Amino acid sequence: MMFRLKSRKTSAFLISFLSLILATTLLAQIPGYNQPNQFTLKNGLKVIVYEDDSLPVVSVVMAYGVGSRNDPEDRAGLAFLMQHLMFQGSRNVSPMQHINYIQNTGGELNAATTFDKTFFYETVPANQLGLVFWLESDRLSSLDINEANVSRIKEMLINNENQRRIQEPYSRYFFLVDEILFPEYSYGHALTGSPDSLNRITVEDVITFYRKYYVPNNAVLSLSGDVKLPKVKELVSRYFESIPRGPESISQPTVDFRSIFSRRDQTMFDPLVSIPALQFGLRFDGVKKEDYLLFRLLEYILLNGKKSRLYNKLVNKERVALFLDGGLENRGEYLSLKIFLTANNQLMVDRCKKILTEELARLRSEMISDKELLRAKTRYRIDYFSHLTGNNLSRALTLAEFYLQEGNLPDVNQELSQLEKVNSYAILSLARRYLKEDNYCFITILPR
Amino acid sequence: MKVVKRPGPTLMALLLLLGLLFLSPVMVFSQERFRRNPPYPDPLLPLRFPPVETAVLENGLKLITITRLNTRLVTLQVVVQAGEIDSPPGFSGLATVTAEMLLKGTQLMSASDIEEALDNLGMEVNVEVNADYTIFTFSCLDDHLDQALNLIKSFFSEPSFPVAELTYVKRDLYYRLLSSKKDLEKIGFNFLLKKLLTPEITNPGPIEEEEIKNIGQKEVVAFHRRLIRPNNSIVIINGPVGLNNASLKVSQAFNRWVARPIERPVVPRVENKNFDRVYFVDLPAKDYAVIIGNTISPFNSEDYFHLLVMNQIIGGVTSSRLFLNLRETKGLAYYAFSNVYYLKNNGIFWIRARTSLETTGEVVREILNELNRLAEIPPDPLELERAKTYLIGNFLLQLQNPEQLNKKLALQNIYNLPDNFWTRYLENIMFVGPENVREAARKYLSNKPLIVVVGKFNPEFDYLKIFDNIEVYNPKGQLQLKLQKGETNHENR
Repeated sequence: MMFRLKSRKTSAFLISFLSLILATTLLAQIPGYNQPNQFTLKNGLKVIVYEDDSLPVVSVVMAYGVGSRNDPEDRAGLAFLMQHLMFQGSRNVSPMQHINYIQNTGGELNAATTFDKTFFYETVPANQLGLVFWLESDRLSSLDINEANVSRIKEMLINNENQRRIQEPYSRYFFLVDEILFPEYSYGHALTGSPDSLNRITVEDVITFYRKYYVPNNAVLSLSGDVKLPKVKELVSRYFESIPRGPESISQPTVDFRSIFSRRDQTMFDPLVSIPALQFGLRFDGVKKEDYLLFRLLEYILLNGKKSRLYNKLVNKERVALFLDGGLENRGEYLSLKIFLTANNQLMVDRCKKILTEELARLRSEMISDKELLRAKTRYRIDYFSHLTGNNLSRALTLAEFYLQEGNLPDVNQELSQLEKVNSYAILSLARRYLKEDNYCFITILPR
Repeated sequence: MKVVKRPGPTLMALLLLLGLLFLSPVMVFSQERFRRNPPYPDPLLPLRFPPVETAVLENGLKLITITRLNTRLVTLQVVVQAGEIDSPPGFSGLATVTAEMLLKGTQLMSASDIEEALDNLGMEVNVEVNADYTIFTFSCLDDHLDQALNLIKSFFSEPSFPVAELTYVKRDLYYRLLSSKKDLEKIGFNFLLKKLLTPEITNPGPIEEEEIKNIGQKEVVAFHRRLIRPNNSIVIINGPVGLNNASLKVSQAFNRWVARPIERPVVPRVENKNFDRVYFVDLPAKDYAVIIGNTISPFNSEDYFHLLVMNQIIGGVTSSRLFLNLRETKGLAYYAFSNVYYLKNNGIFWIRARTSLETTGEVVREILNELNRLAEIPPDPLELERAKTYLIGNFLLQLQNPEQLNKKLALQNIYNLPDNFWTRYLENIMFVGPENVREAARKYLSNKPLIVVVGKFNPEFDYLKIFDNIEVYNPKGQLQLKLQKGETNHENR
């Protein structure tokens, strides 16, 4: 099993979806969803417990408030490296044994790093909860960081990176568009780092990073499944209570992107690609939390489903695009919309650019129809319920994400009624406020 | 080893003090005893299946509901007991094309209308065509169930099979099959299936891309009329819906789907046999896939659980024998796993390994050694328990997925499994002992299995050093060359 960043789709859309829906303080009372329990240990570790006894399984998410934005200057990829290093053994667990312990129970596990968070998660039979806590607490309290481990992971990541450049030649443009949209190191660099930046990372860098960010008071432990609160409290106390706190306040980078891009429209010739493609990016500045719901609906109108505006026009009707995918990503107070498509030739790519620009302009000039809005709301509700009631893992991840974002769990609120209240004018108003052509970025990728 | 133990403020002071006294840091960081070893698991919690209820509607359509109140989503499956095994000779792919054509037009809706209707309800659709059954999976919100059923029923009771869409569906399937020709394991497994099961079973599942062009609207209409009938189908609804409510909705929606007598080919049982040669499928590739297998007893046999545990020990996961031996210990293969595969009245145990030309012979030898070893010596208790723990835990995880839970209930019907098959599943795994595993291995692994090697055939390599008897085939399955120790016989067909 490769503990790489989950697929582009997952990282970009699952996590960003969670960020967006959660930041709008939802978690309304809905059938199939109960309010979770929560408590905080003396060392600052926040614990969320959702009891669901429908099957004797439990999902555990250990989430840390650290991501690529915390990579030190010239050390791009450190957060991602740290994610992998967490499987290389700790005081009582040999390298890679974490994986074997979980798999031997019939369980599943994985990890993911994003711009501002890192997740480790396991789903196991509920009677193995103690094992998961034992493993997570061991690597939180005594990770084995040494020259050999760090070198091994660096080598693996560099190999992966080199392989990815060959096997997924378009992926570098996915990251390049971030550099252009966010022209500041902490926001714009590639989460996976580069061979050069990875090579610069030292054992001391890793130890400093681990001690600063992998601490109980920068983490959330979220559980969902067939567990009982008293038992969870007992086990959490046993395994996590004695782990000391870390630094009290962690400052996050602040940025201000007001400048107009210097590389808004460019063409790249790439010997590794065989089909022309377009990578589009759009940055939304100064996004207010109350607008997140509207942004999500906007995304659904444009990109989600075969009858969404862009898919319908580019793929179904005009048949100029062979493949189309994209979505929103959030970075602090900024959002970006990234769209990738392939086409048969450069003329088709140019046509796609034109349609894309027109469709975005249309959002600013025309109200969307009631039918389109209803369709977007339906899809939003499906995703919403999938995350909160789909299965234990999606629920535990959603709650962990919320806790890291907001610092607590909100009271039950009116999210779904907010959704019902959204009308076409709200979408038009949103488009007029945030869609600025100055913030568009096109990269045309052509075979050499 | 440098263990980064984080010192708290008090500990830090203590550390400095003790450091002054020249004490080893190891002594400072002595840990709680419970951290030294993994905890024993608690007793396994009882498995409570969600309520499962069944009804048969007037037209013979079977309805199964799995009531889950902890979700707002409904996963609805229509399972039709017809698959590629039912495609007539010369028309392989007919079951797949018909299944896909059901969603391409009805008497009242065009393909585009259907796409839009599905999209408006946010419905995801997946079609899975197997050798002897086909599953259509739809998901929607519970408050859209009526609309969803109204749409879904029209696919089955009022399809129009437009010719223009048929061309598109056939072309799409053709290119999908061509692109799957890069998958060495799939090619090897399809070859194995055909060699193991034909001529007893005319078409055990794999689709010949050259036969797709033979499929016309007439064949699709006939297939639908013959087999896609309510009395040959099951609707499974998983979500916050009870049987009474679902029964009313489904019978209203599907009442115009007309039952007809169903005639399916009788599928004979194919016995476990001895194979005396290696089949080499020659195609351009960097690596080599080794596929080895033989038939086993069907899903509903008393050996099922013994075989399941046997498979787990041999090659279920990375901690199983094949992976540990071939990859971790000897470094002969990139990976090696085993699987069990079932179709009506038959089962297949098969192994897949990825390796290089030079190590192909050793990989085959080691795999055969592992099979013989288990047929001779029962697994030790620890290994057996590990395999059973995995199977039990993984079964519980699978039940979380509504599609998988639905499919298990569908298989119960398709393969005539006992009513309590899934509710007693864990218990039956727990009862498997070391002798059961050895006996299953002796029964099904003692014969020399069928061996398929897929990769670039190198005429300069001395294959007869490794194998006594080899037949070389091209990717279309045509015999190109026979090699036998002592003689060489070229057959270019």
